[in-house]
Amino acid sequence: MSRLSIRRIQLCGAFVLITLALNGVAGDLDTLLDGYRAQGARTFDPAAGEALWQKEFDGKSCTSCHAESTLDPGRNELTGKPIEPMAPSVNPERLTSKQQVTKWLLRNCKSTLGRECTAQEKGDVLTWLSGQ
Amino acid sequence: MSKIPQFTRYAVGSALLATALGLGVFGIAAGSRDLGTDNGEQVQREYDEDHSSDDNSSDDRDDRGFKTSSFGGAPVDAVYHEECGSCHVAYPPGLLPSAGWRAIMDGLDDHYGDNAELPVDAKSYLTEFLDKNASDRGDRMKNARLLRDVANAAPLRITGLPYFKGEHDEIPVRMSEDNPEVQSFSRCDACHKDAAKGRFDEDTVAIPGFGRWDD
Repeated sequence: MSRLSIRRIQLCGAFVLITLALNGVAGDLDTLLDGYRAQGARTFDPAAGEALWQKEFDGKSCTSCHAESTLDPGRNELTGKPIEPMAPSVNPERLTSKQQVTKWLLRNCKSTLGRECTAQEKGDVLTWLSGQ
Repeated sequence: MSKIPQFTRYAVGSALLATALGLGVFGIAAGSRDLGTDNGEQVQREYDEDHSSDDNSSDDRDDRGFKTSSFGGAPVDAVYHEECGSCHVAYPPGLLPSAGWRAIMDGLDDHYGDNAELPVDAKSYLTEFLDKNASDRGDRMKNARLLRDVANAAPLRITGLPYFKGEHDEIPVRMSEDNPEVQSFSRCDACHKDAAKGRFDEDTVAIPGFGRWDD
């Protein structure tokens, strides 16, 4: 076989493996997003997710505790406790547990927005965060 | 004395005085070097070095030589630390009476201004854990000071307990509320690094920006 075709096979193989790996890692997140779609959410828009993340609700926003950049560690505003960065690129544990994501979205939407986030909002934010 | 020339006497006297003053200045300089820095880690390191060879296998003491059932302490519970220690220090259950903990667990949707709701099974597990290890359960003699003069049957704030206030009433505001690294007495772990283990001994206190607390 020529070197070029061996290289092609290697590249294809690498691509397949990476895709499979990413699918495995994103398992919990996908389940969540599917759930939100089932609740009536439309296409998820990362830009809308980012906008919601940075929006102020009565002086509070997600960035109040989670820092301006998701790459940075945050700090609980009230207690001072450090919060690990939200960006999966920096903190690979983020968005890997359906249970954790559900719990924190419930609590923090209620604390910050004063209400539960809609399925659309959750999907938008999670889609945006997964790309951080 | 009269045999020693005056010059020599003055010289020796001056030399002794200079040495004494020099030692004094050095001592003050060396001692004040610790102020303004956080030497909490140093305190912990020195303690660890002194106690590294303690053999504690035969009694109910933790690896620092303190009884695991020490004041305010409780068995370490992974669920409690995960759920109740993710935003603030996992307050030792032995600090509040059972009624206080129950009131807190029943109002998690407005948890001191935040929402801390839990799934039903976690909530009942944790309520039971807190109840079992509360200050009015178990050794009431040991925990009597925590329960002393508590006006409310279900106190919601450890920092509001008369005993707590008494223990902290000599701390200047500049070290606590006005200290940007502390800000509130509810942040036990700012000065008590092992607060989650129930260890609040004065000799383990390290106030950020001020160092040890020496009465």
